[in-house]
Amino acid sequence: MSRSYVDAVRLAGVASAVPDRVATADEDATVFGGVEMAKIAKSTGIRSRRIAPDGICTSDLCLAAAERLLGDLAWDRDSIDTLIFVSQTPDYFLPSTSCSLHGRLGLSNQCAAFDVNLGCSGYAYGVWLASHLVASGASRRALLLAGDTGARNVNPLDRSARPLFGDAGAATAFERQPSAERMFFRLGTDGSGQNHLIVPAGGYRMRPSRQTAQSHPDADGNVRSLDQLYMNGAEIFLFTLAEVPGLVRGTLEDAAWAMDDVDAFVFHQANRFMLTHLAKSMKVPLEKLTLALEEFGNTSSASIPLAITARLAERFASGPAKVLLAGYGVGFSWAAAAITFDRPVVSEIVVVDTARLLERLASSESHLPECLRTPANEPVG
Amino acid sequence: MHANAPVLRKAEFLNKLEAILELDEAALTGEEELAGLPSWDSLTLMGFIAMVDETFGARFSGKQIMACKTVDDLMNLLGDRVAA
Repeated sequence: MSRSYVDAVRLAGVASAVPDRVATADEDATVFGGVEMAKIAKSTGIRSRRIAPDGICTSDLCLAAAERLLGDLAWDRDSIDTLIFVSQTPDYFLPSTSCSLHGRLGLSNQCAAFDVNLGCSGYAYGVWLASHLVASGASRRALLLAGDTGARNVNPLDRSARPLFGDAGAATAFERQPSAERMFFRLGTDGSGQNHLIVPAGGYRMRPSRQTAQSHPDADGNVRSLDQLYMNGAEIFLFTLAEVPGLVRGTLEDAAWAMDDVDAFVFHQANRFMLTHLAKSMKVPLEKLTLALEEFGNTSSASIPLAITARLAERFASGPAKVLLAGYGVGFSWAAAAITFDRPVVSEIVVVDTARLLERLASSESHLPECLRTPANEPVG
Repeated sequence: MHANAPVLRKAEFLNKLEAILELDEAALTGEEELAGLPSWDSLTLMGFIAMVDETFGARFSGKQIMACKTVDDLMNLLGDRVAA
């Protein structure tokens, strides 16, 4: 287990953004049947999700969150010397989406920027990275962008996955502050779990082709192609039970926090059944378990910051709060952080007007390469 | 077997499974094939994993669970913890 702490780092603010289009459990019911959807919604706790239309990417959502956050923080763009983009739904495999975002944000050339390919554990890894870079002096001000458009990876006829995923992007700011409380981190990996949460084709192990795009039903009647997400819920749950209680307990021990000292437990928002079972088995009081997935679904690396902006703004404004973050899943990869939030800026959630954004992306002022710009009123050939 | 390991009678185990599967009490005998039970699916499997964790503090590998074909197979996973 990777264990570490940092001093003198302040998490200065957090913001998140979601697309304006809402998909509801009722809509899913038209595909999977009302009784079936009611069962799924009861277990997952997800009633609605936000969906980005084709042509809108994670980067667009993260950009909206970043613009809001930088405005609320009144940070000079030139003062940012590190940009980290955490996502498994990047704009491109080449160049890094963080470079593209650097340009769109108008940051200075003296800024380091890179992508991190992690999902459920991605935000906690990003916080670990950004904090250590600031603590070491390698960075003065770091901007962490995290999110996914996971709904896009799922086959619409895949009952095991379609009702779960939503889209979101988040931005978090870090800077040096000598008086900041120590932050504690634990991270781990188990690569033997690689096949239980996977998009098999599209990378270099198997390039995308007409064959990989073909959908087939599996033994449970769920339909998907090799280009789409496969998830083994049982294996993921078993992994969660095997690793997360120890991860949380260990991080609390490192921080010398008793269960009662913690103001909020913000876990990756995968599925309410798993979350409440975990909380009960760890004796986490349910009123301290932050939940936002009912409205937004599983937004992968954005789920923790989205939950913070949706549920904890008021609590954070009232004074320092001890928060235990934990992200775990795809990889298998996991990370936890014990952080004392000291009245950070918590921006209002940005709801992105996707129709207007699509117009802007198609226009001649767009940052997109010409080959990807579809003029708004040109007929699709 | 440790002195404080919880032990269930078979009927109690079956009742817990019946609750997860939303079946009437005493509906199961143990001989039922899982594939033949209409409510046995990925969601009830999660419920079973949670029940076993909560009741016995026990956990099994995905392979062990997937190898179970009948209700009795599920019960036999628990070994001594369920008195037949």
